[in-house]
Amino acid sequence: MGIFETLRTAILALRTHKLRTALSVLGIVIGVGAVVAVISLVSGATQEVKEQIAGLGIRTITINIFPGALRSAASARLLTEELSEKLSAAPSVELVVPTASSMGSTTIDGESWSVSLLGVTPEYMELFDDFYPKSGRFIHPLDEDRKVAVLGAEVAADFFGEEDPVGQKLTLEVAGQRVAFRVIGVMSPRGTVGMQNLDDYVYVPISTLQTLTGSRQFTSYIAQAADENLVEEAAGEIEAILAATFPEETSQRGIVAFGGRGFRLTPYSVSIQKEMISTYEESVSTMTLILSSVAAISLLVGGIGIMNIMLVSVVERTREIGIRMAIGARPRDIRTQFLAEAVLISLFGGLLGLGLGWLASFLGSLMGGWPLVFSGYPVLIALGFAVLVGVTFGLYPAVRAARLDPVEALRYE
Amino acid sequence: MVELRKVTKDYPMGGGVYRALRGVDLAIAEGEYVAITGPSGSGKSTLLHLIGALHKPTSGQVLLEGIDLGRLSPEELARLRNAKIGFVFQQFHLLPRLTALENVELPMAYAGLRPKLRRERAQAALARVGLLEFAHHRPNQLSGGQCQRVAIARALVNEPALILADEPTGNLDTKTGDEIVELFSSLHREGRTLVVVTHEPEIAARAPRVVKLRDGRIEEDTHGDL
Repeated sequence: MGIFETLRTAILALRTHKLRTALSVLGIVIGVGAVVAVISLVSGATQEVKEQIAGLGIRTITINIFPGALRSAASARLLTEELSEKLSAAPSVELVVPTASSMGSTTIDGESWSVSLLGVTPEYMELFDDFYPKSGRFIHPLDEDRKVAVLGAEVAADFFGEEDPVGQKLTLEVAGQRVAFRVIGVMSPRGTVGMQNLDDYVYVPISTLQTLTGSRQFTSYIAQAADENLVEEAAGEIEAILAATFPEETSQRGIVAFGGRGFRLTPYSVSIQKEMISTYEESVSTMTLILSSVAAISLLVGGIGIMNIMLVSVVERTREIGIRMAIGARPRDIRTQFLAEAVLISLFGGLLGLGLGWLASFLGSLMGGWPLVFSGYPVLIALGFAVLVGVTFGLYPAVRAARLDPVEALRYE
Repeated sequence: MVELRKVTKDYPMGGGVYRALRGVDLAIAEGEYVAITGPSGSGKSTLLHLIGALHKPTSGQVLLEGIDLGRLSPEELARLRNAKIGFVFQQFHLLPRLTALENVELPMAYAGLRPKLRRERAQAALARVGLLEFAHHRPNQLSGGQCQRVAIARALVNEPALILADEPTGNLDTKTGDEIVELFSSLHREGRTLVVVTHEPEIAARAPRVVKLRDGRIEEDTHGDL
């Protein structure tokens, strides 16, 4: 008997028990639905993680030293530019850039706006990909102590609109003084990296900012590991250097995601973005595990449901099996026929489950905020699982049907 | 055509063994029309099942066209039933969900014939039993006599070497039963080999040769035209 014939016979048999067939697929529907949801969740979340990694610059290491938490005055005296050089000597570290930050404000049309100033060195631009002056130039070594500013894309748009700010004056209130900065450049839009929005800063030479705030201490650094795989090693080396530099102090590794401020009491923190990503990945894998368990249990229950229905069906149709055998159906024809029915039932369940899974991942992405990723391969996975369950749990009833004795089967009432 | 040599058949029964056939020797030649008769429990259905390759003998040999059925696997027995044997049963044994035509096509489906050829041959077989106009009726839309004719068409459609009938008139009234017996006689005249099991003497009397069984043995064998 050919495959189409077998399928036609199976469909005919299933059509006579529509309700029973529909009910028996429930477990498969939920199981396959969960599988599809897992796949969608994982690919959505993975995409999100990838975007974050790309945005963060995975090689970035943030170093913060909290002078208030230092126990000895000797330690505080070491917070000079030399520390930056010391740190960049670590073998796995490519670049160390000191930064200093301060809040400022400006008045436009009688309204007061607050501004974030970031004191940086010329190397700061090299820390990020796709971060370059769209207009004018970035800070130059010769700009030391000069009152020049480079604007982030959003700041430029807020204060100057469509106008090109390069060459114009920006008067800011910093540390109680009114300072007129000359705008020398506007950066390309870069967006958020880690915890900070690069487009929202007014960049000034670090020496200029230190003079204005009166603090000559170098307390914040951004380092870049030489390679993506060397980030943890680099962080370790930096910690070792800090530990050697401040022998009286103890170290505490912080996680950027929870905010450096939470660690104020520790004298310094070395944070890598990887930790934030792995926190994220952990929560994704927990959800994956839960949904996978639901999927596995549902598929098992669904499979047992199918086996049950098929065993009932074999008993009910004992006489039919006897007739078919008498007119020449081979045991393997009978087996194939019942297997085909089991697979059809679970394929039907698999298709419903696919729909359910897509619906669930759509709702999940709305609520969970991860991107909805549709691809063809959940379809294959869903139908693959359905066929697998159908064959696995349909095999025993089918073999039982095929082993019936034709004479006894014919006599069955 | 068919040869049974010292055939016995045991069935397990209540912890012991019931011997349904106790050493049967029988030869049926091509083109013969044989009635097997005897009281219930005499072993006539068992004999038919052995000839029809539905069962294997406990001892002895059943040869169909020289093939020893005892040596065949269930798969091979099924192939052989499909190709060489056409069954007609007391309860007709049609599949209720299929039309008359589809029921008649079924043996050819298992033989692997092309659908178009199947349809043609099933129509011819239905025409042969006078039911072509009922081709698309389901068994529950047909009378008992019509069902049995469909079953006979199904038995004929693979051109089997042997047609076996087990109490073919048992569920029919006398008049309809006579028509079925008449159909067997005409098949015999066409040269087909028929073995009919019946406990009704008047049905058995229509066959040229009658084999009487009693307690698992052949009591009488009237080689009518021999």
